[in-house]
Parts: sequence; C-alpha cells; structure tokens
Amino acid sequence: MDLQELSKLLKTQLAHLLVSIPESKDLVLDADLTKPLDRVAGISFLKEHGVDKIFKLEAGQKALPGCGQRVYLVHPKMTTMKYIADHIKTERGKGERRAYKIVFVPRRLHICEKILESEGVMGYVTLDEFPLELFPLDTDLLSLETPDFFKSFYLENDTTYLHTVASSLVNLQRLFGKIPNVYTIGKGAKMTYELMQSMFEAHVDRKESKFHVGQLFIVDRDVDLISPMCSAMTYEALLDETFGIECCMINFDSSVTGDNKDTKLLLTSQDEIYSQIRDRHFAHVFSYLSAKAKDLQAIYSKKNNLKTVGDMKEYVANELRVLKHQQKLLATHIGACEVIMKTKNKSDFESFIRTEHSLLEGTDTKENLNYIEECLQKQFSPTLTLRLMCLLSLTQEGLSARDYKNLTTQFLHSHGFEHLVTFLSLKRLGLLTVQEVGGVGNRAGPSLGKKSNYRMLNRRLALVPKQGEETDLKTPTDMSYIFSGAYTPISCKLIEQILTRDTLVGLEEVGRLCGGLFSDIKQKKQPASGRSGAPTDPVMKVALVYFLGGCTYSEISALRFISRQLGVRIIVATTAIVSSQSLLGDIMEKSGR
Amino acid sequence: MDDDDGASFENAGKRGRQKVNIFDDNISLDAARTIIKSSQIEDEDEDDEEITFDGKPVVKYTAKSSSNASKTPMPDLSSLAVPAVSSTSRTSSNPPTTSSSMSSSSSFGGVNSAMTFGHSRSQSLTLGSSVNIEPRVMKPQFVPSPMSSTTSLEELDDFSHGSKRKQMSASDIDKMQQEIQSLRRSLLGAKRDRWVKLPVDDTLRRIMKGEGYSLELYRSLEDKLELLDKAVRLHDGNAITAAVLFLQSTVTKTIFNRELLCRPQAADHYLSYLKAHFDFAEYINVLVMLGRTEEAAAFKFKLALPTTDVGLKISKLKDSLRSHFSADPHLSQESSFVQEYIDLLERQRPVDESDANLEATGRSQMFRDIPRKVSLIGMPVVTTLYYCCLYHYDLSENSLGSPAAIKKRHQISDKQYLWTAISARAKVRHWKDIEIMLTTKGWFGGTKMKSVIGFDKIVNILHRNSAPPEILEKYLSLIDDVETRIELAKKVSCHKAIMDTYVATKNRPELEAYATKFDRYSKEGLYAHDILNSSTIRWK
Repeated sequence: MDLQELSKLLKTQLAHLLVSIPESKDLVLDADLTKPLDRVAGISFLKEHGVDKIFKLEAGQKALPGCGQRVYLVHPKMTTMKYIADHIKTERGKGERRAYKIVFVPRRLHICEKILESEGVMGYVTLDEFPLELFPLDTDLLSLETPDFFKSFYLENDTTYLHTVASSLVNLQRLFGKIPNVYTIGKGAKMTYELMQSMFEAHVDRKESKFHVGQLFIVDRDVDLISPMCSAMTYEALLDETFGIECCMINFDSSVTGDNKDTKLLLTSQDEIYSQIRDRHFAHVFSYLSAKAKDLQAIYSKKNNLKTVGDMKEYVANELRVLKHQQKLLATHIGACEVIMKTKNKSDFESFIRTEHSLLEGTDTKENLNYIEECLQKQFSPTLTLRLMCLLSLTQEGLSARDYKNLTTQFLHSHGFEHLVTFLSLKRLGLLTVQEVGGVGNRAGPSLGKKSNYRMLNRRLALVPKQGEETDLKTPTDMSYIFSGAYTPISCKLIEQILTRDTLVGLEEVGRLCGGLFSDIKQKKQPASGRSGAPTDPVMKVALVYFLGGCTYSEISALRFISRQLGVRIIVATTAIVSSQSLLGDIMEKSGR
Repeated sequence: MDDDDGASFENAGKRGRQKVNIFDDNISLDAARTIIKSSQIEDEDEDDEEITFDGKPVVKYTAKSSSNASKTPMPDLSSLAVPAVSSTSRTSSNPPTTSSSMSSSSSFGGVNSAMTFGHSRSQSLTLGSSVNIEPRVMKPQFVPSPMSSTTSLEELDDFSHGSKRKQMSASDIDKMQQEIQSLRRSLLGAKRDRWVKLPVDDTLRRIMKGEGYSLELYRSLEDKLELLDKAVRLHDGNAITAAVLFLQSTVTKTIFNRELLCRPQAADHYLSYLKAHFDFAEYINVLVMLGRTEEAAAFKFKLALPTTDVGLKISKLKDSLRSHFSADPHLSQESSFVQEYIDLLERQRPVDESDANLEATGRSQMFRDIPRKVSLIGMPVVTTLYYCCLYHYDLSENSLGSPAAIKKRHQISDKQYLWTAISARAKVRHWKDIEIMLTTKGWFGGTKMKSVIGFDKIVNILHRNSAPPEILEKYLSLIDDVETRIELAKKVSCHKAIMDTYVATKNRPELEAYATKFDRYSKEGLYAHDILNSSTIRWK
C-alpha cells in the first residue's frame, strides 16, 4: 500500500471543489492551512484550477479585494465565521457583489452555520466540505495536523475532534480495506472506535474488499504523559525541540547555515543522509556524519584518477552533482548538530538530564527537589522547569501537599502569577497533581484531575531498565535507547507486547492502570505461534498506530525500532506531532506583558 | 431567542413553498415533454443539470428500466480523477451490443472536453442514463460509423445528434411520463415527511454524516433529552453541541440547568461553546451552577490578565477575589496568591512611575549607567526584587521600592533573596554589598563568611557579571570541596586560586606542571616561582 494514494485522493477532491466554480476565483485560507495545503497540492496546482489570488484570513480584516468569486478554505471555528461574515457585510455595504463559498476543513459544524445564520449572511454563501483529514508526511507517517486536539479533548472534554479522527479512519479504510483487528488503549481511543463503528453502520458500504492493513492501534495521549515530558535524545526529536519541524519542513537560520541565508529542508526518508540519522541517538549522529564526509571525500578524490574524457564527462555530469547536493546536506546537518550542542551546553544540560533520569528511576528525591528549586530561583527557562515539575508529579503519582505549595509558590514568584491558570490546567490534565490525603480536600467533581499510575506500570512493564544494564546507544537492542535508556514510552511498550502476544490476555491489570485496553479481533493470526504452520498473511504484519492528542518524534523512533525488531510494518498516524515545548506551550498561560 | 426561532421557522416555511414552485404540480405534461426533448436534444450541459437537480430518482428509474444500468458501475473516485480515460475503459468492459453507443457518448466527452473535467461527476451519471435510454435503437444505425474511420469528430457529433432526434419515440415519452409520475409521488412523500419527525437515531446519523437536518419537530422534553443522550452516547461533539443548544433555546432555564447538572458531557460541550462564543459571563455562571468553582474563579482571574491599564487590572483582580476566590474555602491558597498579585501590582505602579520620571530627567547616574529596558509593571516577584536591588538597594523597609519590604511581603526565602540580590549587586559592581550580605557574626564577636546557596554558585554569578580576579579568588577560596574549587577556578580562569589550591593540598607536581603554562616573568609565572621556591611549604 502506498500512502501517497491519500494525497492523490485529496488532490482530486480539491480539484473538484475548485473547478465546481467556473472561471477564476480568489482563495482565502486559514493561516494554519497553508502548510498542509502546500504538502497536498501546492500553489501551482491551485493556479491551474482557476485560483487567481490567495489571501490569508486574519483577525481584523474588514474586507478583501479581488474578483467576483471567492472561496474560503477554513477550519470550522466560530471566530472564523465571524470574520467571514464581517467581510461579506462590509463588501456588500460598499456595493460589491460577489459569490461566496465557504469550504469547511474537514467538515461543517452546527455552530458555524448558526453563526452565519445569526450574522445574516447565510443567504450569500454556499457551503461545502473538504475532508482534509490524514495526509502523508512520509512513507510511514500520517498526520491530521490538528494540534488543538490535545487541549480540546483532554482539557475541555470536547469530543468534536473525535469525529474527525473516526472519519479519517473510515476514509482510510475505504481506500485500503477494512482493518480486521483493532486494539484501543485508553478511554478516548475506545470512544473513537465506537464512533468509527457507528459510521461504518451509517454508510452502506461496498462489499468487503481486500485489506492492506492487518492491525489498528488507537492510543490515547493521556495513557503516557511522561514521554512528552522527557528530554529528546534522538536526532529528529532534537531537531524538533530545538528548531521546530512543521509538516516535515524545517527552517535553519544563519546560526546553522553559517551565512546570512536561511535554509529550508524537507525532512523525509527521501533524504538518504537524513533517513540514516533521524532515529539515531544524538551521541552517534556525529560519527555517522563524519564517516559520510570521508566517503564523499573519497568520491571527490576520484577525479584525480580519471583516465578518459568519457570518464570525466560521466563524473562531472552525475557524481559531481550528487556530491554537491550531499555535501550541502551534510554541512547543514553538521551545522544543526553544533547548534543543538550549543543550546544544550548553555542550559546546564548535564545536571538537568541527571535530575530527569533520577526522577524516572524514583531515586534521590531530595536532590531532585533541590535542583528544581534552584532552577526556579535562577529563573531558569519556565518550560524546562515545568517539565521537571511535571515529571516529579507523574513519577511520584502526585506531589505531597507541602511540595506542591512550595513549588507552585516559587514558580509563581519567579515567572508570574498568571500561571495560576496554568497550574489549574495541569492539574485537570493530570500532569501536575496533589496527592490526596484521606478525607481532606476530597472534593468530588471533574476539577480534581487524574492520577498517574507510574509505579505500578513501571513494575509491570519494566519501563525503566534495571540499573547496571547499560543501554547500547549505537546499535540499540531496546527501544528505551530513545531516552538514553532511561525510560520506555508506555504506549510503544504496550504495542510491542500486543504485537508479539497477539492477544490481550495477561494484560488486564496493565489495561486497568492505563485507562482501559480493548480489542476487536476479526482475524486470528496463528493458533499457536512457533509451530511451523502456514505462513502468516503478510498483511497481518502491517499495523497502523493512531495517536490521539499527538505523539513525539521520540515515540515515532521507538515504533520504527519495534518495526525493525519484529519485522512488522508500522504506519504511524497522529492528530499532530508534539514536543514538550509545543505541548506545555499550549497549556501555559501567556504572560500579559 | 424566541423571536429568532420564529424567524427561522418562517424561513423554513418559505423554503418549503419555494420548492413547491419549482416542482409545481401544475406543470403540464406538454411542458414537461418539451423540457425533456430539448434537454435530450440540444446539449448535454442541460442534460446534466436535469439529472443533478434531483439525481437520485433518475438513477433509480433508469436502474429499473434497463439491465445495462445495473452493470454501469457507480461513479467511483478513480473515475473522478481522470474522467475521460475511465469512460473509455468502461466502454471496453461493457457487452459488445452497447459498445457502439457507448463509444458515441465517449466521443461526446471528447468533443466537449472543455467541460468534462468540471462536470465529470454529473457526466458519469449522464453517461449511464444516455445508454439506458437509447441502446437498442441506436445500435444498427451506429454500426457503420466505426468503419468509416475518416469521419471527423464533428460529423460524428452531428450524426449522433441527428440519430437522437429521430429515435425519440413514443415509448420513450411514455417512460418520461412514468418518471414524472414517480417523481411526483416521491415529492408528495417528501412533503409529507417534512412535517413528520424523524426517529432520533436517523437525525443523529444525518448530523454525523454532515447531511441536512432539522430539530424543530422534537417538541416534547423527552424527545429533546433522548436526542441529547443519544448524541452523548455517539461521542460526536458536533451532535452533542447541536442537541444541547437546541435544548437550551427551547426550554426554560430551570429545566435546562436541571438537565445539564446530570449530564456532565453535555455540560462540557455547552461550556466549550460558550467559551468559543465569548459568552464569558454565562460561561462562569454555568461553571458555578455546576459546582466547578475553582474553574470559575480561575477563568474570572484569567479574564483580568490581558488588561493593560494597571488600575483597571487591579480592580478586576479584586473583583475576582471578592466574587470567587474568597467565597470558596477550598481556594484559600489561590486567594492568597491573587492577593499577593494585587499587592505586587500596587507596589510596582508608584515605583515604576517615579523611576520613569527620574530617568526622563536624565539626572540620575544610576539610570544612565543601566537604563531600564521595560516598565516594571507586570513583572514577576523575583524580577521586581532584582529591579529593586538594582536601583533601590538602600531604601528603608517602609518604602515601597525596598528589597527588604518585598522579601517580607512575599515571604521570599533566604536562598531566593540571596541569589537575586547578589546578581543585582554584582551587576552594579558593588562588591562590598555582597561581602556584607555573606558576612555573619561569629560566636565571639568575630566574623565569618557564610552562604545558604554554596560559594560555587556565587562564584558563577560573579563570573557572569565579570567580576575582577581578586573578588573571584576571595569567594573561590571559600569553596570547601577542593575538586569543585579547582574545576571552577579553571572555568573562570583564575590562576592564582588554582595555584593556591595546589599549595593548600601540598600538590607540588601539579603546581609545577601548571606553572609551565606561563611565561617565567609574567605575573602568574612569578607567583608560581615564588611559591615553588618558598621553604616554608612542606610538600607531600
């Protein structure tokens, strides 16, 4: 199966939307749709289909210029509807007559139509939908690019986006066949599964076609909040943490490139060098890069041994061009490594990572507390400090009332009282909680937040490798290498377990601890593994893992590792790719300054 | 609200009437006949429109009328991608009897290629229907056409038009009439159904699939609640929001609140709607009604944050404190934070105002040396403390800008105070102040250097503020742990301290090695030489 099929389908759907309005038209885009649209279609594609001008929708725009037909391609948000209604009213007030079409991505919502109706513009617009749901970022990676999911679903308990996830799964299965075996990890995952089933029931489908994916895992982000709080260690995750990767595109500024120009780079498996280093532990990236540099040098020095003019021609035409390109890539990656090192050194990374690791091990609690306090007193980066505080709470299954008061007070003093709101959100998400003392402060209600079950889960699943066991970071044998051997992401561990066992039997206790495991198995693999029976259907060796609320690049690396270890093709789908920076940044109250 | 509803009701009614006008019962058969004829004969574009208008009945009818239709594949997505190609490929898969007529319509597509892409969705339907209407009649007439390969496309086009005109027979018109009858029946049915409420499950399915729906026929409370409960069970946020807003606008507040209280998911969706709708007062009311006081208080607090005018901000904060935080005994901790915030802002305002004036006059040396970068207002407590240690270190405790007063009001720990004060005093290079801070009286009147944060950290702060070597030496010598001392001394390149440490540990080889790094007659070289030649030191 080729994930590019999805892109093709989206392109066709977009083309139909555009040509359904004859002649030229202007396109108005939500700012956060530009990147995904770029990946799917590109400007020239839009122009080919009659798009004249492209505008970005912004707050405060009262009207836009342009021709007599306009298409809005927007997310279904109430504020956006208000902006559009403002445009229409102002423009009509000026006597301009236009045909307006609003295309909702990925679907229309009741509230949006309500706003358009109450603003009195319903008569001037036609509505349509463009199901831009999952789209491929790489050969093994799909994304909804909906970072709002995390806050909306886990903080506000709003299930609007579940529909998008379920519908994306239905559409994916229309294309690649219905997936026989489904496993869900967590509460939201189960809900998504149920919604997906109701959608299948609601649509009268063509008869069961051949399927290309054997197993589906739907995983809740809140099953494992620890992974996104850990320091990234693989190259790709570090790039995301340091520079930010958007839709597989990264922008390197002059600190990396060395000259005054910024470089944009597409980070996918098409880049041969990148595909070799993306999942490596950072400690072993540089060695690869320098070996690669030597290789290039060798090819380069071949020019001295060229005998004939023909050889020379061949060399200049092909090898030299490839060489030039690779050399540039290599230089960029080395530059990026240097900047990462520099950033880490600036922030006293050694003590930071030591604290992080002992938090995960659950040792030296006193020293860890001291270190966190010192960070607060120094007014060290609020995000990084908050990460340690969350890790402390998650691994201790909540802070004692005294520690909580002490740490939050110091945080508010150092970084502003605005964060009173931040702490409430963190509590509701279960990221930073207070241990319950019997009876006292026992308020019922949803504001109480969730409790982590780290200790039990750690014991059951051996998430933290035993002390003394060195993790081989160069040729890893355990997926915990992604965090320098300090921790294994819970969901990845569970997926590994289920893939090898092919059943949930024996995982009941673990399931209870992480918010519920559920399976719907239509196709058994083998009655008994190990016995030489008929070979398993290769399609059963293809698994789709869908993260609700986002996953990190570290987890993607871990899944790629499992994929190689177990010989299973794993495709990762996610609502968005997150990092500790982006996750906490969304939750942290912006200071009013 | 009530007015709104009335209006939308009326609109809906109008829409219904309009519909009747389009499909008027009085449309005469003759008229229909001409419409059908012209659409079939004149051009395909209109044909398209006829079919797309009410696509379903036509498809249904044709499916019944001809066995070929059932074979015609439903338009699938691959055909959407490349309509022209797929139509020809379809031709080849059909039985030979119809292939010629199929090829005619495919050549149609070729001629009208300008519009094929745009209307490919409807075109693929047209394709099906044109096949169904005229397959048998056309076959004999069409046989020669493939042989006369010289026939140009236009001729072919004319020819096919002509053939169509001829073959619009009486039986076809009968079929058309039948179709009109069946359309009429389904229209009547639709009109009737418009006023019959759909089962809740069906409506929810329509919402979920993004189809049109109407909730206004659910008049009984039981229906409304069933709708809401089933939406919640479906987990579709859009449906839940629609159901909860429908309930809200059609029942009294008392009933709405009562039902919301026992439906937390519905409440969450209602809240998330209110928030996105900027209905903040109602948002807070609902939170309070649900007993979620902490969230209500926090939201009220949050609303005060973006206020730029300090006076206004303070009064908003006070309001939140009065109406939410103080009212709930569980929020005592948070209340004291809000109070602290208010006090901080009330302290910052006058200090910032007078300092800004002073700086503007340009008479203060202090502000000329280290100009203020931004206003003090809105800064955290620790930053405020730093600011006051920088500019107002010597103020007495009863003035607002005094660091001591800040420490007292916000119960700043000694560690935090020391950290901040040393950084600030080092910045202005008042080394004496630092010394005083770190000096404590000993038991017998003597003095002793003591620090709660470790001298290594103090050296780091001093080094960052580029303190002179003699100051660094002084604090380096106070580090107890020798290893740390040497390491740090190396880091801040304080050679004298390093050599002194070697002396203290009586480590002559290290010292000799270290001395080789310097020019014999440099300051450091001479110092090392003196030590190495000294007879009073007993080396190990």
